[in-house]
Amino acid sequence: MKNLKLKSARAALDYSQQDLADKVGVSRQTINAIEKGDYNPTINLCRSICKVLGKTLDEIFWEDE
Amino acid sequence: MKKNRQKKIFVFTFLLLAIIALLGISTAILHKLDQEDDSRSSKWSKAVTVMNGMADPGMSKVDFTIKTGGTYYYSYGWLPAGKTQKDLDTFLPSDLGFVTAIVLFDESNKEIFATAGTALLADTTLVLTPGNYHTEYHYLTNLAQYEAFAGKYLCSSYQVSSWADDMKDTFANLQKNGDWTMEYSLTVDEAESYSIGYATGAVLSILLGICLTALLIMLFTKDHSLSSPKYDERQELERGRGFRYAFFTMLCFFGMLFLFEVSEVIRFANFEFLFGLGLFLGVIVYVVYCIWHEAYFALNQKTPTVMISFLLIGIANLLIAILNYARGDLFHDDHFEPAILNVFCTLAFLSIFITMFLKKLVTDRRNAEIEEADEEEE
Repeated sequence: MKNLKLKSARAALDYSQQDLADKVGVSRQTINAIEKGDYNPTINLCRSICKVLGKTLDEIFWEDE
Repeated sequence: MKKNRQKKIFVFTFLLLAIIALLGISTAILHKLDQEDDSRSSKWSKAVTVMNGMADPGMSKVDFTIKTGGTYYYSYGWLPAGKTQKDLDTFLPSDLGFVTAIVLFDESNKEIFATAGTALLADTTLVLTPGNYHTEYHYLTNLAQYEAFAGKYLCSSYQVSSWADDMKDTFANLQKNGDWTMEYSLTVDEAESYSIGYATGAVLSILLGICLTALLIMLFTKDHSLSSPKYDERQELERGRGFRYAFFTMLCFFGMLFLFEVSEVIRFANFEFLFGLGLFLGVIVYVVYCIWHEAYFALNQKTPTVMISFLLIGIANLLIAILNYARGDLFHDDHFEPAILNVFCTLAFLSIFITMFLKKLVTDRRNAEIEEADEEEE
């Protein structure tokens, strides 16, 4: 399932996938895989992404009802 | 400050090791050059006259010296003047008036090796210690002379009659009179030498290789340090899966080889080649899987530099493979030779490029589809 919340949060800060990847310390392909729903990140990576985007885990990774 | 100091220590150590290694390699090269005298090939003609079944001269001698002890390929050439190796198929021993037999002696006149007839053409591997050697050429014109030679040099006394039986027809058909000029050659080529100097040189060459590898790693990493490649959690996961698939591929391949070996169904190459092939298959599966899942290149690796080095290695292997093919070193007696591993190396590096190209095509198409879908949603 695609993670559109992550994509929109990233776009809101005008970050490219590469920018976010560099700040989090992962590869661009990993961010791409998370956004496309091809990869489920660990809680540590989720926290790192949320910290960089200034969001909570719920805002980015919790599914809508 | 600490990083700068570490860098200085590394550069100093690298230079020191490189100098030691270069000295070692020079020693090995000098040692090799010094050994040139031990590889020799002598060629000469000998006129032999046979009159009423007796050869004149009955025997001749050739001397040579071995400077360094070791294992040597020892081969004799034997052809009538004007004939070439190609004529061997049509040429019969009975076209001559005698059979050539040889004996190799060391300087204490101890017999080391003997052979006769067309068996002269077969290569022999001998372990020779430093010293003077000589080869005696005997020109045998009748069975009695052959029996005497065989009993003295080729076999035990009770085996002489069976050895003589094999040669009975040859001697019966020999010419009784005539002059023949024979072209003989003696080749003594070093196969393997035992030398501390050479071994030291080899070890130090490996050391230089390690130093150069370390230097290349430093050049190919973004932060120019020798730190290990960094992968993120998704890459680690995919690399683990790649290892698993590569392991099972190798397991299946070696299992299959074992079954083939036990059942003797197929035997198309020697063990070294098949072992190398199994390892290659494993590496190719691992590399292709990792590239396809974007987990091959580390975060701190410069992809273009690595790709260029891969391309150069691939081209070098291709050139070696072409050279081996031209020299006919790839197949021998319907068997693959270890030299064919260069072909597999070329294929392995080529597969990396093909996988990267296909992956790029698939990713571009998929991203375009996603973007299209996003635009439609908006």
